[in-house]
Amino acid sequence: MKYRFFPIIYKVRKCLVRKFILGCILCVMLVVHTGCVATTFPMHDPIYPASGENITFSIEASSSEGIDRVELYELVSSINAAGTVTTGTETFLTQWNLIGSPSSTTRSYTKTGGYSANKLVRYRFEVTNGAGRTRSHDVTFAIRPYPVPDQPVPIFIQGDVDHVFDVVFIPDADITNMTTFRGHCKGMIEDAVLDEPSVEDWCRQFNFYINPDTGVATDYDRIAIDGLHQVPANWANLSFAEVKVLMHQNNLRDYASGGLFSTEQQNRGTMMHEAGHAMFGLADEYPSGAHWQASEFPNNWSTLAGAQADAPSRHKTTADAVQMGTSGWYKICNSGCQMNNSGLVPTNYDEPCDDRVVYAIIDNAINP
Amino acid sequence: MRVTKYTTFLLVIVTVLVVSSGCATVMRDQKFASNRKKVEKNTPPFDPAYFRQADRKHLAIFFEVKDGRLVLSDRPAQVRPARMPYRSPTTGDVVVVYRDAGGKQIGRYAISDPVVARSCDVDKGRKGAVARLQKGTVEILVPYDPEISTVEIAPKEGKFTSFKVGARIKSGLRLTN
Ligand SMILES: [Zn+2]
Repeated sequence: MKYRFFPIIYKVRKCLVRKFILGCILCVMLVVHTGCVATTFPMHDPIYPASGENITFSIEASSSEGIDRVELYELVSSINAAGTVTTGTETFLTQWNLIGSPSSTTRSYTKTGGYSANKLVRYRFEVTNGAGRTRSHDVTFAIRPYPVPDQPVPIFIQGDVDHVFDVVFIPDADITNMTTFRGHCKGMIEDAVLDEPSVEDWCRQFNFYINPDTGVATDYDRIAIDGLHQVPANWANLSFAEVKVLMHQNNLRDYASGGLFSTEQQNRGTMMHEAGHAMFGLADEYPSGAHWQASEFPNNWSTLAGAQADAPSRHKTTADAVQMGTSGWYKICNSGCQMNNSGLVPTNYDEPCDDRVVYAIIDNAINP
Repeated sequence: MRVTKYTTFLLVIVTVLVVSSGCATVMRDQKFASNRKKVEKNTPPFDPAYFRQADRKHLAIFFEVKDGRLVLSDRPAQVRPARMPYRSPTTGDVVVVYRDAGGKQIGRYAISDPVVARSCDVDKGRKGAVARLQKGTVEILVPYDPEISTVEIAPKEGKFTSFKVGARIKSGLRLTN
């Protein structure tokens, strides 16, 4: 039966449908408004600048409410050999007023002549979105040379040490070009850790350092002859860090032991695989690796039934549960997951691993 | 356009589908926004003087590996700057429990087995491998707490081995003070 033969019912229904649709749209708009102010990715280049060297500060910002304005501030503090800090005053550097509130923007500013020695620099971007809400994001780094002996040098610091993941890049004694090494450290930050899709949303929860002392990586196949990795002389001062990565130049069969792992300096995939173990407690997803079942958000299961039972609540189906070789351990991530891969190019964590990553980031911040 | 029962039905279904999927995305975004807010609010700003703060420290207790087994070293415990790194109690293949002299548990966490070398270098056609260390030194971290008397270490769901570490901690503290 057609409504047009009953004009009143037709009008009432049409009106209800309109109200229903309008109500839904309003609800969505209301909920959207309580979402994220903006997503912000600040960076500076070079990552560990020498005194007097030009430094470029940049930010990638995006917001579903558009970006109206970006402001940049600096705070320069002095630090002496004892590590005593004399804090400066924050000053305004520049701002960009964006026409048409674009949903994303990339802005950069070069500080010609950089900063003098014995300085800690904090730069802060303040992003105002189209709804007038602001997000502030600051990063602290040291100017080279860093005056505090035997201390890891802060190169990209965002939060209190106890509440974030701390990553120390240790140069191997085989590194012949420290500029190249520092470039790879920057690459590990922006193209590996903070570029991982499940990590990038939480990018403020990570600190990065470069160690002043070198270590020596050995080859897994030569442990019996050459011994384990030689830790740097200031090892005790690195104990606080969740990740201690020994970055070397020579081609080795890399391994982890005693809280230290090695990688060729360009291997972002190895970095992310090992970071998966060291920061997030992820187990291996290949047959001859290290396996365990975490009690919260595991990525390995000791039984097929367990993996199948958890799969639907972990973005997968029961059919995704497979044994890793003949190990007696099971997984539901796909074969492209970073915990099944290492090497040059990062492959990202699959969704079940994402759950664990986010759990660990929140747990570290809330229950340090 | 003529509005029929059929077109109304379709319109409502499409709207419900679009809105519910939109709502699911929005709810996910909102949950993320609220979690991120909570996390960032709980994370104080970086304090450049952090590493000089005397109350932030932890202890390393040393063990020797003899024939693949852990033996408590004679070395005094070492006081180290800053708090110990984040250790989840819920993941890892070895559990560490530390107790006071009365046997009361002070804390526990889980880590990757410290008595192995694990190569996950599956690059260039290599295969991952895990080898148990037969010799060497292992350090186990615990919070800075002079009350810690024993440390128990066990493979997950395995039998705990208990080590009396109180004397090593006391001698380590004497060296520092
Ligand atoms: Zn691995």
